[in-house]
Amino acid sequence: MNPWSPEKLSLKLSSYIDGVLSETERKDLEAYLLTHPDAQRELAELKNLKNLVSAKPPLEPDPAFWTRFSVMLEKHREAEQNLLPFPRKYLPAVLSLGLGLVLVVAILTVQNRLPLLQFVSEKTEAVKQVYNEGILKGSILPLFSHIDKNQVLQFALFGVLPMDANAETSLRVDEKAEKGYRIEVGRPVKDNLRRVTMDEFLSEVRPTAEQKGTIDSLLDFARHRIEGSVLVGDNDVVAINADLAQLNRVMVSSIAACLETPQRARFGKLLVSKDAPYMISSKGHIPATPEKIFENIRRMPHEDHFVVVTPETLLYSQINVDMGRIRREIEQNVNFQKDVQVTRERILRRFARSELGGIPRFTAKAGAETPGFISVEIENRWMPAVPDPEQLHVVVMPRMRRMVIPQPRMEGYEFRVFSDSSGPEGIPTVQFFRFGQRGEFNVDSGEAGFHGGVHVGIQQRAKPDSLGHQVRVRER
Amino acid sequence: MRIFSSEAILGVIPQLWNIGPVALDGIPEEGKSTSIRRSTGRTMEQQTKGQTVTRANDVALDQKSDEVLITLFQTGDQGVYKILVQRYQERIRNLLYSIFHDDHAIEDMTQEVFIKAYEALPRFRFESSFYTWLYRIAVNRGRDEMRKRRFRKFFSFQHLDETVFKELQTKMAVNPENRDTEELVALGLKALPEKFRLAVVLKDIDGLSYEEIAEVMQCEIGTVKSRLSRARAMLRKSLQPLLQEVSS
Repeated sequence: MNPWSPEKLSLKLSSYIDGVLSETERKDLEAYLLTHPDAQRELAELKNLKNLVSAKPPLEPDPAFWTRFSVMLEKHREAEQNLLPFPRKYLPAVLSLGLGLVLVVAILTVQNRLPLLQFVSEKTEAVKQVYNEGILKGSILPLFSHIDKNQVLQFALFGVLPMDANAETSLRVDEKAEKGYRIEVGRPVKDNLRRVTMDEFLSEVRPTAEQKGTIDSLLDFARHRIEGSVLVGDNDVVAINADLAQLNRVMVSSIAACLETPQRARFGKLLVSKDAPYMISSKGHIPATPEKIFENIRRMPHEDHFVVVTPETLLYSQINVDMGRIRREIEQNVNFQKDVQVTRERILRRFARSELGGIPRFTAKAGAETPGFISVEIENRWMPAVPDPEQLHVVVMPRMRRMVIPQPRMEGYEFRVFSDSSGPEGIPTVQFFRFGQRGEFNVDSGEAGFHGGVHVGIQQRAKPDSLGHQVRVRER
Repeated sequence: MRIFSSEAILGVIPQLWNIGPVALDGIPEEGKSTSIRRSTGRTMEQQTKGQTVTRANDVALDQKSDEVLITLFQTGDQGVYKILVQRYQERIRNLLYSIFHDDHAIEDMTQEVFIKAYEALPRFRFESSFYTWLYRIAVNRGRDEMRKRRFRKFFSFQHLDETVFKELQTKMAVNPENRDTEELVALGLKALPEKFRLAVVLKDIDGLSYEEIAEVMQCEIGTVKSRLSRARAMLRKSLQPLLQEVSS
């Protein structure tokens, strides 16, 4: 056998003494060793070396190690509790840097004090003017004064109220699940589905005469609430009572509460078919009495805080409204309807031209995408809690609006609309199924796609349940 | 992903359900009573019984596997870290001593290794055994230290440390009867470049398998073989007189 290179021999011998050679390699090496005394000597030395190294006696155990270490660990924990977002040793440097920045800002402020003061003064004046002087004083008018029952029903079920005769502008309220509420003034969604007349409602739900009386009373209540909740001033100010955003849910739960189970089912179906923002499910079979329903409504906190929107600014302010005085003025003013119409049109034109600035607590956007569009979002923490409709044996939950279904549009295309809370981590997600494949559409991101190879079967249309609705969409 | 053994699961469940007295609060010292951290809502009598069981439970915890102790640690019982430290402190001390042969440095380095492990343990994912994970921390700490020292002394990454090698030769030249074999082997190891030294220490002193060494040193098994072979060749060369003496 030819002699191996020193590197190869060392590698083989090293692996050999560790017992990690394969059977073949071991036999080859042992055969080599028989004819190579130098290799035998190297092997012996390597074995001795391994024995010498591994014979190293261990250190004396240190029984006090933990005692010393625990002191260090405790110090470490204390250091960890330092809440500063950087190691404490950098504190002097950060403080110096902060001080430097403050000085720079102070110097810049002093240098530019005149423009700054002017800017602050202008803004303060604008807010003061809106808040203290001009706001709805002496010229207050309800934007909606003689809305008919169909319009009230439209608002009660869908949170949408046309603002002009041609329904080119509408007021919308919407619940944004965990985030809070949204009040919008703008062009209505081109969606004829979301219109229902009183006759349609009655023929679909088929309430008894007594139930119809209760529903009439509820709609009457809603009408008064709407009239007192949307006000305009002659300085182009719109004030919308923040409570109005909750009225939609209260009305749906109250109407459902007075119905028998089959009627409730039909009502639920109507809401689904008309793509209402809320869905209902029953928790009991006994309809609530009108007394109980109105008691529940009375428990609804009535806040006197209004979202005040002008073309220049936005406020969330307490306003004391004397609706009795306003009604008397309306009765005395024969030109009231005309005045309101003029004011309304002027306001909408101004809103359409202006870019609204945002104020903390609200997000306001206007203009760019949909001219004349105002959207005010009110966080939950600024809104009083709505009474629990479960006491009326009805569960009302926000339902995703009909989503714009992303491409591809297909025949027999199905998707499930989750209520917000059932989606993964609260993200509204629409699942759709086709040919055994499951796809998902993320409402927030607008991303859609199928999961390859997931065989879940084509789902049948299901009744609304706690998870949401399963809906079939046909190709247009 | 590692699947817990039934022992691990069964060991943790009573802790989570407060069947036993549960947690060591902080780091209890011997002889001090341990407090019950989680409120159990039990009667005084039951709680007294619980405290009795606590001491028995300390013993029981001491016998639990690393996985159980780590799970307890990750679910809030940081007191069990004492058991893990005591279980591995000697191995880590010896590992670092084998690398550095420096009594003064290993105390600090061992403490730092366990501090690093304490910080990282909440994120331990059971993808390797605890002790190879801990060894990896120790080896990384050792590497940092070696690099620091190397930069100070301009050591080579590939060749023997000349200074230590000369010291070794000087000591090797004395009368064989006066030689300190242990010291010579230690100097031989100390003269090796970092990665070769670590391989020999982990294999021949700590008795780790090739797979474990590869995991600790974060390299391939083939690399481990090669490093061991080269390290032994270097050691054989530097300790030649000693080896000849042993052979004879």
